[in-house]
Amino acid sequence: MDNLEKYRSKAVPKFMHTSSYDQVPFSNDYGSTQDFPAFGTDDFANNPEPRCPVILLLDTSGSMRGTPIQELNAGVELFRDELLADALASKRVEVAIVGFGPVQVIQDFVTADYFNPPKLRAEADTPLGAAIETALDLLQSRKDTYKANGIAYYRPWVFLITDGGPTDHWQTAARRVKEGESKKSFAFFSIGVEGARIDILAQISTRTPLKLKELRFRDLFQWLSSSLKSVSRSTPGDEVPLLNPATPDGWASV
Amino acid sequence: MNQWRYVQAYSTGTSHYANNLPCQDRTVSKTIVDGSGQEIFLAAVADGAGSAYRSEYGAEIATKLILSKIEDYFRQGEVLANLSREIVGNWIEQISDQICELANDEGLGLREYACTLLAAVVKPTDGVFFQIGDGAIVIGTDEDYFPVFWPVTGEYVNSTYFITDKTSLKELQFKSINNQLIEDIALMSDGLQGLALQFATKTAHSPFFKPMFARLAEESNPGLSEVLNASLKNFLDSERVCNRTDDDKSLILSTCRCNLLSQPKSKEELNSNEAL
Repeated sequence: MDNLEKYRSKAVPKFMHTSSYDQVPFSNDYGSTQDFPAFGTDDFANNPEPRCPVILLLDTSGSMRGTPIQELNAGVELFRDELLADALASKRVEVAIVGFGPVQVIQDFVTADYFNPPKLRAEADTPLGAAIETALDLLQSRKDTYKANGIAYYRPWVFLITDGGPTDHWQTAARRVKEGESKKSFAFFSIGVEGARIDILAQISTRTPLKLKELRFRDLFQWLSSSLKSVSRSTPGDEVPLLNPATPDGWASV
Repeated sequence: MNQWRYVQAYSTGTSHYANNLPCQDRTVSKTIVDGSGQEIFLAAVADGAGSAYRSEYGAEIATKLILSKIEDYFRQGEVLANLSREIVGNWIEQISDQICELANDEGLGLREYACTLLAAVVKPTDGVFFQIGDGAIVIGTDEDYFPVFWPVTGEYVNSTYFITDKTSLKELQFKSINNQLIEDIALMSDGLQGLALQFATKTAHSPFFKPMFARLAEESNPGLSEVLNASLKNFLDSERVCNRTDDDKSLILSTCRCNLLSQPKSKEELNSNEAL
C-alpha cells in the first residue's frame, strides 16, 4: 500500500453513517478524484500565520568575554538555521534579542527568514533587573501589535541566559516575572552559565533555573528550536510537552 | 416547501499525520420535519483537543448526542421558537455527564475527551445556534455571509474552551434568530477559520463560500449529496487547502436554495459530465 492509499483509506469517514440517508459505503477506490464533480473554492481569506514570539535575554557582560561569548554567538546562529529549516517555524516563530549590559534591544522581533544574528560582544556589568523589564515591555508592545493587526499568537517565551548576578535592583523585575507567569502572560525560562547566581535566578523565575553544562550553548539552542517547532505546530488546547534538558545526556542540570 | 441540500466532511490535518494523531474533528448533519411539516436542518461539529488522548471519541459522542437531543426535542412536538439557552445548557450538561461516565468506564480523566462543540438548528427564516470553543458558524444568502459568533479562543492561538471544562456553560454562546432569511449555512472547525474568515475585520470571507453554495444549490435532489460529499472530502484533503492549514478541518454546508438548471441527471451522467 503506498502512502497515498494509506492516507485515503485511513481517512474514510465511516462515521458519516449517522445520517438516516442510505449512503453508498466508501470503498478503497474512493481515492480517485476523477470520480467526483469539481467542488470547492480557490479563494481563501489571506490571513497571516499565527506568531510564536520568543525573547532571548542574553548576558553580554564582561565576564562572558572569550569562549563563552563565542559559543553563545555560535548557538544563536544555529538557532536561526534550525528555525529556517522548518517551514512552519520559519513563518511563525519570531525572535527578539535583548542584551545586557548595557541593556539594549539588539534585535527587535523578526521571523527566522529575516533574522540575521548579530555578533554579540561582551562588555560592561550585569544590569539584569533593567534587562528583564526592557524585555517584558518589548513583549507587551509586540502583543499589542498582534492584537491591532488581528494576528493570533502563542504564549510568548522569555529565555534568560546569564553567567553572573544582577548588579542592579532586580526585585521589581522578579515581581513582574511572577505576575506574568501566574497570569500566563508568558513563560520565563532562566539558564545559568558557570558562575551564575542560581540562588537569585531562583527568586526571579517561578520555573526552576537550569545550569548549563560546560558551555553547551549549541545543544541549548538546538533544544530551544525543536521546542519552538513543537509549540508552533500545536493546535488549540494543546499543552506542549517539552523534552527535559536536565537528563544525564542533556545540556542542563538542575 | 424549501428543502435542504447539504454536504459534510472532515479531514485529517497534515500536522496530525506528522504526529501520528487521528483526525479529531467530527461532523453530523441531517434534516427532520417538525410538527407543521416544515423541514429543519440540524448540524453539529466538534473538534477534539490535540493533547487529549481520546478526544476524537469525545467529539464523536458529543456530536451524536447533541443531534439525538435535538431530534428528541422535536419528536416531543416542540417548536424551534421555544428552543432556549436554558434547554441547550441542560443538554450540554447531560452530554458532559455522559462523557464523564464513559471516562470512568475507561479509567481516564474527563480532560482526555476534551472537545469543542458548535451546532445549528435552522429553517429558512429562523435558526438557533450555539457554540462552546472555537470554530465558526456562518450564515447568509448568496449575497453576503457573516459569522453568527466570532470564534472564542483564550488569549493564545493554542488555547480554547471545551464542553468538558467545569466552567463550560459560562462559555456557551447562544443565539436565536427570527424572521431573517437564512438560505445558506456553514459550520466549520477552527482548522478552516484562517481560510474562511477575515480576522482583521471579524467577518466571513464570502468568496470562500459562494462557489460551493452555488454548486450545492444545483444538486438534483435535496438531502445529503453523496457525490458532493466525496468532492468536499477531496477538497479538504487537497494541497491547496493543506498548504494553508496543518490542522484537522471539517466543513458542513447546507442550502435551501435550489438552482436546478435542467432536468435531474442520473448519477452516472453527473460523474461523466462534471468530472474534474
